[in-house]
Amino acid sequence: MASRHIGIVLLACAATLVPAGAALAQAPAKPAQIVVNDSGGATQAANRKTFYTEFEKRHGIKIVNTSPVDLGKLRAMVQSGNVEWTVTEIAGPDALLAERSGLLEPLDLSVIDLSRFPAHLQKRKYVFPKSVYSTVMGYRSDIFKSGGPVTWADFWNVTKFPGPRTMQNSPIEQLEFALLADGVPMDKLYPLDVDRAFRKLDQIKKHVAVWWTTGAQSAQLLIDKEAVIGTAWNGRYYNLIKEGAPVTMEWNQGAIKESAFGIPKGAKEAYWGQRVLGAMTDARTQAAYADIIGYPGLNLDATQYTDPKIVPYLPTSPVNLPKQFWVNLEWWADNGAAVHERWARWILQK
Amino acid sequence: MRRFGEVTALAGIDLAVRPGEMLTLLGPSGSGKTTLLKVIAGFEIPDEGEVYLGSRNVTLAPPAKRDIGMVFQNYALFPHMTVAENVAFPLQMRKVPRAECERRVREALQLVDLPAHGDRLPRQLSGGQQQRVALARAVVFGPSLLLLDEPFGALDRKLREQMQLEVRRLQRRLGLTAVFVTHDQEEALVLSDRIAVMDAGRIAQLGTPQEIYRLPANRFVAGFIGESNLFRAKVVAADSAEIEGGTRVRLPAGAPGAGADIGLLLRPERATQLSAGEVADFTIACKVSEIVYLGETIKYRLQADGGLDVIVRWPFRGSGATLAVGDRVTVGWDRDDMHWIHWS
Amino acid sequence: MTGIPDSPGTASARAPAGRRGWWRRHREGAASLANAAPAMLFLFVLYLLPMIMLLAQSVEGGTLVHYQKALTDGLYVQVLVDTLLIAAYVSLACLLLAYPVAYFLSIAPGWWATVGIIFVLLPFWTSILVRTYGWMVLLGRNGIINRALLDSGLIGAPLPLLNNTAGVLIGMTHVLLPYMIFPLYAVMKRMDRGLLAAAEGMGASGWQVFRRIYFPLTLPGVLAGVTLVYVLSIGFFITPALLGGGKVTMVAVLIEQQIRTFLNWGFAAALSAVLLTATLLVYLVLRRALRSNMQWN
Repeated sequence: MASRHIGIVLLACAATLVPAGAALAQAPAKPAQIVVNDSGGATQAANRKTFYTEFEKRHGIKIVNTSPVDLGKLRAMVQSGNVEWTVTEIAGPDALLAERSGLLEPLDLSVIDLSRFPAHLQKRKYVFPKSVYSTVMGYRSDIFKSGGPVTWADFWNVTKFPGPRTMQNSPIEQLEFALLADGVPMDKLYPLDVDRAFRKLDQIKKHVAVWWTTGAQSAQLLIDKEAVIGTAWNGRYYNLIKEGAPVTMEWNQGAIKESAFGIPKGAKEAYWGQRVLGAMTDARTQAAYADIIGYPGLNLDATQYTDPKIVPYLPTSPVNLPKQFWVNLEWWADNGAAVHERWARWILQK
Repeated sequence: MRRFGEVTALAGIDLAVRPGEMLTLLGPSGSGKTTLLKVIAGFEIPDEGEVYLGSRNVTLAPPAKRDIGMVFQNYALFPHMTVAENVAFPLQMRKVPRAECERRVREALQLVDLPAHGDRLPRQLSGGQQQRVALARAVVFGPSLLLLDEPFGALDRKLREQMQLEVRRLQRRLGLTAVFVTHDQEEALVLSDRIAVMDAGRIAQLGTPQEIYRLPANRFVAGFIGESNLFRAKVVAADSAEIEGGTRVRLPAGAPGAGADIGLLLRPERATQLSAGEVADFTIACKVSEIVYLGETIKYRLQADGGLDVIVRWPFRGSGATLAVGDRVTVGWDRDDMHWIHWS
Repeated sequence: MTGIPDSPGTASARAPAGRRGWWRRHREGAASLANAAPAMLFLFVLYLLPMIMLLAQSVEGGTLVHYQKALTDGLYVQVLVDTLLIAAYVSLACLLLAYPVAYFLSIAPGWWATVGIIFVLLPFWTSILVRTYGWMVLLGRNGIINRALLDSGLIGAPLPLLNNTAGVLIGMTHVLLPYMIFPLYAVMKRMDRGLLAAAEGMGASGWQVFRRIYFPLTLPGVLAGVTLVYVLSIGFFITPALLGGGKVTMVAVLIEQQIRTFLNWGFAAALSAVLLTATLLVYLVLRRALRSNMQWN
């Protein structure tokens, strides 16, 4: 009894808030704010300046941000029915795991316009491909004055390119890089030959001074000369280069993948969540975002709004794209647990 | 002499403790008795003057090197050590061999009547027992001097009296030279061979309990020790004086000459009630203003006709005529029961 | 209420004489229990209940496979042992550094003690991540410390202070130091200094006073501090990852990975339970070792 009573009162209140005859007559009431969870840091700042502002301008709803990206938390929210996020970023193969575990609301493609996206992405049901980033190698240009490593074989070649290295503390991509260094062609990587990859990794292990954990760390290591050759997400190197650091990034054999967003299953403001993703498809906003951080969106029209000076620093540029390979997230979603465990074991071996 | 900033805590102290005696430093708080004890123990270094222990100048010696046993105000038992460990501590610090150490701890605990308590922790003991452990610990290594710093303050009255006698017995039995600090005059009178009454960093009087009580040397001691009537008087002739208000008094032998400003000390219990026409060396007519029953005695507060306040105390015999408030009474003292002091 | 014959409200009226005697004897205990009830409920809901749920998750499906894996797989056993060892080293380092600091804070005159305590607290107002990056700047191959040592000619090659266990220990010790200082400071501040004077008067040297009296009396603070630092160390995550160069794996990282990346909460719960048990065991051993010295407390 009591709860129905309260329900009626709430509806009455909501009704008074919506102006009669407004264009949004069929839309649910506007909340004061919604929560978008992303990976924080530089990415969040760039999102804030572009997509979040765009959404707020369009709909007059404030976006509140949380971080970090956390699949475990997403699952806990969905399972407990207490979904705090309206939209969340989802990292790498986690997006597939989330989709398979039924943790996401289906995308409303009438709101999220994918018609100008590459054809293979237009069929997306749950995971929104927001932007693209690539893990590439970089090096100190002041140390390798006459040219640095260009291939992963070069990266592995410690006599020709001496000095401490840094790589990410994760098997994802490190296995791919090892196989490329061992001579596997880019289009024959998957399914990964895990044993072969680890054998190759054994060769580089003692030259890796740091297995980095955070994006900020990967860039800082080159600045501090803790490592003279490393891997990082292209945006991190882009920022260093923008600031004039003596760092060169090499697109060749880079690992490209999408940065995904989704709406948690049962999100209270899912209606507005669809519209947040809708704002993320906007070509001009995508171009502005890439300008700031070097991660381009996937709307093909975005390139025409992008500053030509920064195009060489984008993984999707016509010159860069063919040099890289797409990380097969499906393979990682299938095999990740076992390979991660093996990776942890391998790291511990002296 | 010991100065703290502007305040001189001790001044002009010249005190020699006799071997085997119990000397009490008695005085109100702030009189310097505790500071003097700390100087003797070595916790304070005097700004001037010297401290000798026997023939040894220990003025600058640290406490550890003075060979002094001390019982502290709150006993200062080590809470994390058993009774036996506590008592053994000073022996261990003196590197006494283990077997001997155990023997002496046993003896010391026997001495304070706690032979079976060695394994207990201090917090498992009563206040009196803790006191005894502290005592055993202070004497176990045969110190050349025992210092007791208000050791009975935390005990209730009955236990305190019992412990006072025990400490006295122990000190006599072991022939210990001891310095005892207290602000409780009764305790001092019971325990001491001699008492040094302290006032404002000086020794106001040094003497046996009887001397201190019967023949106080000055107004401070007279006022501090016991209850008394102290009247200011002017000597008018060789053997007589006049108290404020005009009452004439016959003075005891040895009183100063005419014109001297003196104080007359009259103990309440030495007063006699005079019947009509009877006269004593000091006679004063009063009216009873207050009656206090003290059990064995009754204390009367009297208002003299000249305006003086007078206190007398007489044994209470249960029957017989007692006075009532408002009654008139004449009281008197013999001059043998009077004691005079210089007023200034 | 009528269904509960032993409930406090009805027992005295209806219980037989024997029980009534029991009730009288235990009344005080029961009253204080009643007073503590809200706190107990709070603890139960906020701590015990989640713990029980966690344990339930670790044996989900009535199987012990998760435990079997956690306890027999070399990877997890080694990481667990490494974690406990690092926690022990950090606790020891914190104790050695915090003891003198707490001592000086406890004897410092009022104003200095306040300033000192503020300095101890200061790092709490800085993000742990920022402090960790700060250490990277200090300890790196080209960091401030190595630069200074190299420039002064004291060393020929940079010392490996970062991206190894040494870096992890330095960083964790720095972060956890206040947790050791405050329990020690609390016992030291409460210390009856008369006891020290008494010991000194009984012939003890400065060192003997410390070893026989002062240190034993600070043991409750030592145990509290070590327990706090040890338990917090075990859960450490970001500092080891960043300062260890990825080469020092703490068990929290593996637990987090199971929860976050693989959604294998059952195994994560089992790992947590094993870690909790190991922590409790260490605590009990530590407590027992210090017990004889702490009965008085």
